[in-house]
Amino acid sequence: MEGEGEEQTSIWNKETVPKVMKIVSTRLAQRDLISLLLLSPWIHRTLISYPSLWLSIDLREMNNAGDRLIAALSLPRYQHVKQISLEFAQDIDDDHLEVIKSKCLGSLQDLESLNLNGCQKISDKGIEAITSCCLKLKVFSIYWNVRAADEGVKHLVKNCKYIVDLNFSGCKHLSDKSLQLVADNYPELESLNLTRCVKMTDSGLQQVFVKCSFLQSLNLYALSSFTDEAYKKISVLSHLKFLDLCGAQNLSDDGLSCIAKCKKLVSLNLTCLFGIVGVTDKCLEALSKSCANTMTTLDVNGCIGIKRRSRDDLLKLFPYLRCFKVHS
Amino acid sequence: MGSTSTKIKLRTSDQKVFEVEKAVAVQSQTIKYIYENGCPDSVIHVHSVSGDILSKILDYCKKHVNSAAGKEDISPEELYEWDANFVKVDQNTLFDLILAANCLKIESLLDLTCQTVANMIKGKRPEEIRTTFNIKNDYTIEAEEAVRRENKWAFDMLGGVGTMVIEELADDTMSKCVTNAKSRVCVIAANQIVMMRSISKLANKKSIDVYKQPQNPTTPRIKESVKQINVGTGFIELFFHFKCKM
Repeated sequence: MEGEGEEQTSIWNKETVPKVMKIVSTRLAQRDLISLLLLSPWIHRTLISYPSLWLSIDLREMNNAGDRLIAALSLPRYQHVKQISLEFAQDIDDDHLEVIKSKCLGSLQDLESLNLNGCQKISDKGIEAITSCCLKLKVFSIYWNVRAADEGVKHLVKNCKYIVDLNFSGCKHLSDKSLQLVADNYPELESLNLTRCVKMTDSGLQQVFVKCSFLQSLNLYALSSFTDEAYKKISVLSHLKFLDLCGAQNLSDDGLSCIAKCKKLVSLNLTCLFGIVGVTDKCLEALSKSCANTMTTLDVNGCIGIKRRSRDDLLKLFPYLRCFKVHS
Repeated sequence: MGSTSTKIKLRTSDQKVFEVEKAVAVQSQTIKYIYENGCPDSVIHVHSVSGDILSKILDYCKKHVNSAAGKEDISPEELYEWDANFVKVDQNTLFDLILAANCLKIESLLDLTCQTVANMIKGKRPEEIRTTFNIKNDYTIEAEEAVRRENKWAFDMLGGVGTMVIEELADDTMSKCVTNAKSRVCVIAANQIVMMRSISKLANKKSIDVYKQPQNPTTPRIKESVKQINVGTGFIELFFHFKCKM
């Protein structure tokens, strides 16, 4: 009798529980997943044998992030990690990235997505170090990094040839030079966020439009220095779906009617605190002619030149509109 | 020739045979595939599922098929509640349901059962998870120490920046942990006298919190007092004495 009970316990611990935990593990956050490793050697062995469970390292908002990242990357199970997020993590700087470059080179060879949002201690030096390790990188995000400059972008384009998604939001020191580098190196770029990159001008932006014709998402939030010169050229982006022009105070009907040529537009943001005065009902009609079937989000707050802006008015022009922002 | 009245025969691992409406049976992608690619009249063997478990699974599938087809008058909220009650079973059954739903490829059932278990795991410490699921800790002390150490990076320190949690570790390890801790050290020990040696960095610690680990993992930890006994040359010995209250 006792033997039978022991055998049942043994099956429970060595087979049933590990199998079930493996199935459940895909639904767990990182911390809980790793807690499972600590439960028993049988669970540990089972989970480690499934590489698909270990493709992501999440250190968002954690302190001592630099040390934590180095510790994680030195574990064999993360040799093929595809996604690392250090969003708003603290205590990570260039030195940590240099250590990773010298010690953990192999672990980053499959990395596709790197989120360094809010990691303000990282400079061009750190960008050079980390990008030299992840040549297959596709998504790079470095929001609110005020140390990053054109030099850092130079290293990025030199090392990472397959970028499709770039977030430079808040990197206020990046200039047209960075845009030139992006345009010259990323013809397949799909998503670009240049929020608050205030040094950039029309000429840099035009380069991107001409050479990155597959852009689907473009964020030009809080960039008031661009003019119709650049806006008109948006018309060549035939795949454009999401466009944020919040703060584009120089935009006029001319510019917007060119933008209207982007037939696949799904979401358009035209808000402006001080009013985009140059945009009137005329261009909304132009927009409607080409994008009526796709437009689901439209924000015209601050476009005081648009008089017919009630919910009904807009629905007449854009029947699929789901998201309205028509505050006056 | 109504396809809704077609029946499929299923034989379980314990040789029970179930005759099931096709619409219900093909909720399982596995059964659907076998049925569509084999002889429609033959019995389908579901080797890894017992009669009891299959019976429950068929209840689930029938309920969901009928509600989707409008055959049963049940609101989404009522169905949700039915599902919630469905998973109120003992652990053995719950785990068997997961394994069977996985093998039979019934996605909604797999989601339901896995989420139930996931909710039982979320936020718990390893000891608590072991208790919940009756998992034996087969680790040797050294092996467990090693696994904890190599995964330490994934866990937030208890109580905020600079606090380290040490649980039932050997003296050597504890002294290493204490020298690395920034300002506070929490020691969780279960009803035993823990002796800890550390180098004099410990003297710079602002405070030392000691938590006694209760036997019931859901009870909040109780703070005990620290007695600092000896301050030797470069060594501080600390004794923590706990009363066996729980």
